[in-house]
Amino acid sequence: MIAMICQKVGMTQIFNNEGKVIPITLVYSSGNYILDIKTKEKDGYSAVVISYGNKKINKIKKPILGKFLRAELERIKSSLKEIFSNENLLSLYTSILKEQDFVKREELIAQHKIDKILLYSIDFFKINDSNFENSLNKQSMKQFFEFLLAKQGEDALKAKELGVKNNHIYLPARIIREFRTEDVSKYKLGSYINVSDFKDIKLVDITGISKGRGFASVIKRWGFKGGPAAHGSKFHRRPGSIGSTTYPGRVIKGKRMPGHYGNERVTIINLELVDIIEDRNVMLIKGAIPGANGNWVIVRKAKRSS
Amino acid sequence: MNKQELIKEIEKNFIKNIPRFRPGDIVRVHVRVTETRYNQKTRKWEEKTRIQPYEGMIIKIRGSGVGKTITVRKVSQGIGVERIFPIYSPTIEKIEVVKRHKPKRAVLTFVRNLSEKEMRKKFKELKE
Repeated sequence: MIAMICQKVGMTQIFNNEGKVIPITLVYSSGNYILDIKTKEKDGYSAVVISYGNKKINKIKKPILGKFLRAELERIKSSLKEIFSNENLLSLYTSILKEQDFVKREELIAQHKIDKILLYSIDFFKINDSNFENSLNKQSMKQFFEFLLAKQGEDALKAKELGVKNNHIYLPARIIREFRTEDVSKYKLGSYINVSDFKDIKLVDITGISKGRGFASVIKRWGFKGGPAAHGSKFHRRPGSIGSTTYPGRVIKGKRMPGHYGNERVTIINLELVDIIEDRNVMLIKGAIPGANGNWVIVRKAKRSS
Repeated sequence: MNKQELIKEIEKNFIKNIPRFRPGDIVRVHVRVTETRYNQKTRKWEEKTRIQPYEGMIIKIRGSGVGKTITVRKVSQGIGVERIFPIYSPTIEKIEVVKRHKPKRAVLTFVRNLSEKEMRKKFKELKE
């Protein structure tokens, strides 16, 4: 698997078999959506576009929604196949669709964690198990998305009137990133990448935005030693001299000085992937990774491992 | 997803049942030690594990969860020895509480400067 967008959870430690302490960072991701696959023939290069993080459908910009059109088409096709092959699931979906009471229906959806898009698609395309592939195409998907947008507003209004909690229609569009890769054949539009796909990988590179430290001086920013604290010294945390006098008559480029520190993209390479807990969607990574807890990070297979 | 719950769930696998103790208690920590010895007969290096008890007073408890450690101080042949144990480490077989005291501080680094007589005066045994 090439990459995955995750969330940093926090740090803790575990013991290995010898009783040695291993510092670990937990990284969480419930699954990355494959939004687009770029190929050499079509785009001039091959890459995979993945996205993560729920966003309400009415908040997504139109061009991105267009991308979702194609991916969702594939996803709905394969998911519906699954639903129609499983009788229990099918009866659950149809019973929810038949439910007239709004409050009860929303409760059922929340209880069974049902994807509203799939639910509405059964209704919208008037699907009965034999011919659903024919009724799903780009044109009808466009109408379906318009229907979803309208439905999202309708449901939200209704919920507000009744004063109950409403299940919004979400698409994974919070954060979208593209990753170049030669072989795109193993990726399927509209499917998900999970933490379990990293099973065979031992070392990873992690990219994130480091904690911002504002305007920092040379001790924090560059690790200068500073002056003595006492014994009459008046030189404590200053940078000191920044160069000579008439010759060269200027400050050399790249002189380490105070300035903005942190809040920049940082990649830590060759971190050990200690363990993966699949049912909790968590990866355990040895050592520290950039950013605050809750930040987005990108986990990639190590590029420069020896 | 709840952050703290996830972290706790991972720590749970390592946290063992240990007796309750507090600073000032005399504890016996059983540590598993691995030794490599040269066997004259077989002419080979052999690994041998044994359990080594270490008895002393807890003078500091630090951290929480799996990272919790205790500092245990004893006076061995007139020389003060302090060891820091991660209490949930798999190398620690068990921890026994030998004697309980009720000091007035949480961190007892001041005992380093006390004589034996002063120690007896400061630490009265706590009886349940």
